[in-house]
Amino acid sequence: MKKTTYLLLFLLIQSSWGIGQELYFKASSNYHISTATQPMPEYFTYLDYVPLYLTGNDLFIPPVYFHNPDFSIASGFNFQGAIGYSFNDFLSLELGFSRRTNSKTEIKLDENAINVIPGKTDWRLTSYTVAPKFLFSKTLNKSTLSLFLSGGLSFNTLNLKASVLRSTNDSTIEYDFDRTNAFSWEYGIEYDYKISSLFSVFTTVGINNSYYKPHKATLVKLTEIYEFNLNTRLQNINYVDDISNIEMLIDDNGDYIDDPDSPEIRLKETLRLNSVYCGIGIKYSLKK
Amino acid sequence: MKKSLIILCCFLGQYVFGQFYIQPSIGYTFSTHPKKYEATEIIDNLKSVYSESVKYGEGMHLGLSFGYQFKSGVFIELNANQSISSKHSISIKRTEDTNNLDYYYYNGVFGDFSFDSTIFQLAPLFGYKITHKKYGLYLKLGPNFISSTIHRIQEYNGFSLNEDGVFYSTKIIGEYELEGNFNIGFRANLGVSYAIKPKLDLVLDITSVYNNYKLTKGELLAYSEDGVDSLNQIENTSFEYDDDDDRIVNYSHYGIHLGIRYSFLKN
Repeated sequence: MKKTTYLLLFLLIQSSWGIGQELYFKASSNYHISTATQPMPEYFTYLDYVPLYLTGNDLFIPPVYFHNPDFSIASGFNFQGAIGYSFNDFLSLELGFSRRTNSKTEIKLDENAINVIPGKTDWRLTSYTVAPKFLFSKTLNKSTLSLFLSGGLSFNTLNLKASVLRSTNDSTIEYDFDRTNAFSWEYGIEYDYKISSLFSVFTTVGINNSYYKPHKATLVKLTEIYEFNLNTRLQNINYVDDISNIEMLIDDNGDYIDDPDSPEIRLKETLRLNSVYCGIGIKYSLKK
Repeated sequence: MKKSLIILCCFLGQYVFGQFYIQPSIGYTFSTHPKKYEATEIIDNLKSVYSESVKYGEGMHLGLSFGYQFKSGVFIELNANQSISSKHSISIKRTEDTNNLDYYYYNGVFGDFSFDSTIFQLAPLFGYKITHKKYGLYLKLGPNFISSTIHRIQEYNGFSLNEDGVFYSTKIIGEYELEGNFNIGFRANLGVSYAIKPKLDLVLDITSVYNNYKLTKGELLAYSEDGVDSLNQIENTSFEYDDDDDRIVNYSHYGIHLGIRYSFLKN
């Protein structure tokens, strides 16, 4: 059975080389520039704390709100590899694999907003994408111009750290978010120049759209001063589509508080990644 | 003499280097960055969070493009779009009348809100077209200038103090007109064309527009409390936006446009 499978595969590859133009491999590096911004998603509420020795009482100051109206982490580098097959001079099909990270990681909170203590956030998004791509080309001598359209699946993870900047000491809280998948799509134009019978150099300009919507966050780091108050609510956050009739507790002051022994529940928020990108790469053709 | 020469060159140029074309279109766009309104309610120790989104930029648009395509496949185009239907409404209601409650907590925006936007977009675009038999595939991109007026009606329960120092709720209706200047964003279109006649193409565009829009001023057109017109009690009905979140409206959208392209010469 195995021998038959391998033989069939071998024959298929050989026959495809006979029918098609060429099989090729690509490697490229692209840089994305953000085209759209959004209000910063508030994935957790940061409680600042003033220790006993400063005030005589342990105090939790009202929450630091994530506040930045022009937020985006869509800019950054993308490294891509692809295997492609040209059916003829006009149409090609590729399967691409890419890894993308954001270049701007530190984003400050808006100091001018009301009820916001100066602070900064550190965002590290990593995205892996698998996507087929259709290319429609026009060749003239050694040059080829192609328009392409691609759509596939992105697997994203996020690490988010928030710090409050104070004169005495900075306090920090850090979360890892779960890996979620999302549909990602792009289109653009590619210019290909043949430098030898096997190798070509190409440049690309395109539009890329993707998003990230986490379901869960787990605490990974906490400044010492918070450790006495470490509870389940602080350690785990669940993001849901709907919050309805969740039971609240009442503290000694008569204020509503969340149950500290249950994970915090928040509404889902979407991180949008819209960018224009340009890049350069090299193409190796197996057969023409 | 000079003017005549320029006009003659433009007329003759289309026969040598390319051709002019005109393209009316109609399309529908989907907002990619809806604005979220959230409100929290706690009654009898039970918390609920309500969330609604306003999809600015979503609706039907009419478009008109005028361009010039060179024989190499490169083209330049001036594209204009006008929204003909971009209305949205949201409703976040309290589950109980606060006058009947002793212990409760509310935070956020509660009420009924309707938004009617008129959006005008102008985009000088640069593109490239590949032709294969009767089909063509093209990409065009460039800056996108947007101007908009938003008509907003909001109906909500406000709170006032009576003579005994007790809060009571009042039904408030406010009608606003909000404006901004031209804002610059980015537009990219991927399109397919099919030649139905030598000078006539059917075109289908997938559009991506990325545009934040900053409101600069507004005017209160109507205001009433519990059904009583109270506009004349407000001293200044005109206002300007400070640098805050509410002034930013995100009109970023994806769209599909269907059109007819008429080329002044045979393709």
